[in-house]
Amino acid sequence: MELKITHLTKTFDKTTAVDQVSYTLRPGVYGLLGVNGAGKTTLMRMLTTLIKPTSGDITWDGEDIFQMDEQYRKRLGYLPQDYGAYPEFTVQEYLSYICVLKGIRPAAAGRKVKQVMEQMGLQKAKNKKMKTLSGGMKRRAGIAQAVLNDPEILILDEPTAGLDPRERIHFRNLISEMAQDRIVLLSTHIVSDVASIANEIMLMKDGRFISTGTVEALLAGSPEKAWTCRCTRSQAADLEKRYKVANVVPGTNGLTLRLLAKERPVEDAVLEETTLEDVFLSYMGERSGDADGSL
Amino acid sequence: MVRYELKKALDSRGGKVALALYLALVILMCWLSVGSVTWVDDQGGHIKGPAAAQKLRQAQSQWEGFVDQELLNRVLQENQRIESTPQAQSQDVTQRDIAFGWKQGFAPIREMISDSYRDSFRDYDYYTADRLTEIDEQTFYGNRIRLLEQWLYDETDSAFTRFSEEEKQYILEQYRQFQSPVYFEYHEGWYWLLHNTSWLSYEILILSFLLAGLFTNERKWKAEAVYLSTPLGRKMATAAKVKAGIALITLLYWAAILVYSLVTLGCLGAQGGGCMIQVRSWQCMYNLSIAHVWVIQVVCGYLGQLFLGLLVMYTAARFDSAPLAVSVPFLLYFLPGFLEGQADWLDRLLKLGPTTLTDGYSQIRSFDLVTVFGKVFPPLQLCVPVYLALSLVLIPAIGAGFRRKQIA
Ligand SMILES: Nc1ncnc2c1ncn2[C@@H]1O[C@H](COP(=O)(O)OP(=O)(O)O)[C@@H](O)[C@H]1O
Ligand SMILES: [Mg+2]
Repeated sequence: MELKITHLTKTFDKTTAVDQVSYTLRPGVYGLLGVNGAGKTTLMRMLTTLIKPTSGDITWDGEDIFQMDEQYRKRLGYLPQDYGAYPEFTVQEYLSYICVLKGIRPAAAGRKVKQVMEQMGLQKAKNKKMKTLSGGMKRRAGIAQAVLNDPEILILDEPTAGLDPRERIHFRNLISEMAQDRIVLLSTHIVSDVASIANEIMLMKDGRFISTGTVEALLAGSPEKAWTCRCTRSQAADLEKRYKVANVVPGTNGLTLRLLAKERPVEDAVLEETTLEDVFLSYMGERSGDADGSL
Repeated sequence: MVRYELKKALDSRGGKVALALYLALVILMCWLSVGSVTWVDDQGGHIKGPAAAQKLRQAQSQWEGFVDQELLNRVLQENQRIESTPQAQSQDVTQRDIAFGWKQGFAPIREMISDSYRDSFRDYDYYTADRLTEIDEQTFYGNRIRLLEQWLYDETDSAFTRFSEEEKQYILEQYRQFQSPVYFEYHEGWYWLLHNTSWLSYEILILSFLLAGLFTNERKWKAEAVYLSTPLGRKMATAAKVKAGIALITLLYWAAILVYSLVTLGCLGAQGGGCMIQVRSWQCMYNLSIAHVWVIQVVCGYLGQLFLGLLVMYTAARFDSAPLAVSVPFLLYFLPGFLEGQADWLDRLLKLGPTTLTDGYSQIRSFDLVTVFGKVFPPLQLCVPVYLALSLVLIPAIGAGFRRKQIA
């Protein structure tokens, strides 16, 4: 069970959405972390055979996935970023239909649909039409369809976007449960979604993996360290121009800033423990606050 | 899988609207046909529909039989008797209607007489039969071919150049093979059934929305990425879409034909299908019964619908655009009208357009012919194998277009 990407590139007209990416995935949870436009979706579409790479290869246990075609897609579960379904189908009809598309035999399909609906908490909605589902329920149906065939490769593109915090936690637990013995690749631009559950994280920017590895490895390899310091509003404005600011806490006299810097930025700054968010911001963030970097 | 595709297509609001329109079209056709038969009673009042058909059938049963010397004499005598009545001479419309009413039993034969004794091939005068004092079976049938010959070889008529010598011979040969005397009986049910069947060719304009949707809705619903990333999505499920499309065209077409013909023949009577088409279209060159013409119209109509439907699906799958796909049959239906008469070669090509198939009845009444490699064909006879072949080519092409689709 090895999904190997070599020098994978996808170019649209002028933009290079994915640029010479190489990586090998084995069973485990992988977090693909990057701001909007980093190339996450394009990469995932290639991994799901929806688009052909401009150059480079993707192999499954040494075999080209586009050659394997159906044999590869059999192992695949995919939740697209812009996920939709047949509006007039009920949840149950929809999942039964996906079973047909996945070539699951009717005898097994009934059982599987029931089991997956239970797992995702969809039983109550099983006779509701897809078009009437709330955002959260629809996402559950989306994950449900992805796992119907017990995929060896589960690809989830921004699965938590638009979910409320409670659903987000529920969802994280689900992923952890499902991560047994399969490759789970999920993309997000929200650090906390993957910080606790991913075995490995790929930081993606402008089509490239700029840093990869376990959370610990990423923390250790961080180009900048996190510091806090107290300062006045005017000093803060000056610091924001020179450093990436992870956090601002207003106090009674002045502000407390959390800054990212290679060296101690000001005299009385205190060195803090670096978090994954700091690392993310350090790579991705523009100075004076990139909203995507901080949660 | 086909079941799910049909469900996707028909359950949506667009699907229901299309089905409702479709049903309306069939109802319209039934209403037109059934309402076409009128009866004028002794008081000059008009009735329509099944009751009128019943009266007409009774009246025409008196005149049933081979249209030979004896029957022609009877018709002419009775016509003259009615013409000389005060009602027929009257200036009052109601009185004249009463006189017309008396002629209904033999009206089609009377019109054949007017048709036969016309001055030239292109002239027709409804009152010719009223002026005729004697009639002769030989001349009655002989006029047909005599006038045709005159027309084809009249240097002042456009027909002279319109047809090649081979084509002229072809038409003459058809006329020569006409078997006289023709048999007459009540046949209004079959006649109106045939007359309004071509309305059904508009079904494809409605159906094309469903057919295009089979291929473009996946994206509209944002369901495409999941669909195409499943093991069977690209091959089997795409084939199921094509099958669902063919099933939609086929089932809806034949269901409509079934309903329409049962209603029409049920209300107007099912007898008389065996009457020759010439009883109503005197100059028609093909020697076929009315029922036979109807069967040709219906079968060719189906092939035409199938071809257009497949073309809609192909366009939808290939260019991923529903508006483009549904405009294909619109263009093919209405463009020939604009292009006609622009150029000779274009006219020839238009004769072989797919809409030739969807209006077999007009085709059979027309004198259009096509010459290919020195052999003369009725356009329909060429269109059937051509569009059958094109349809068979399109079927795999539709799937191939969609199967290779990339989503970016
Ligand atoms: N179909 C396309 N045509 C042209 N450019 C595209 C297309 N899809 C994506 N891109 C571009 O590729 C880059 C990466 O996009 P995407 O993969 O969607 O990033 P992400 O999922 O990380 O937000 C963006 O600059 C985007 O504009
Ligand atoms: Mg994306």
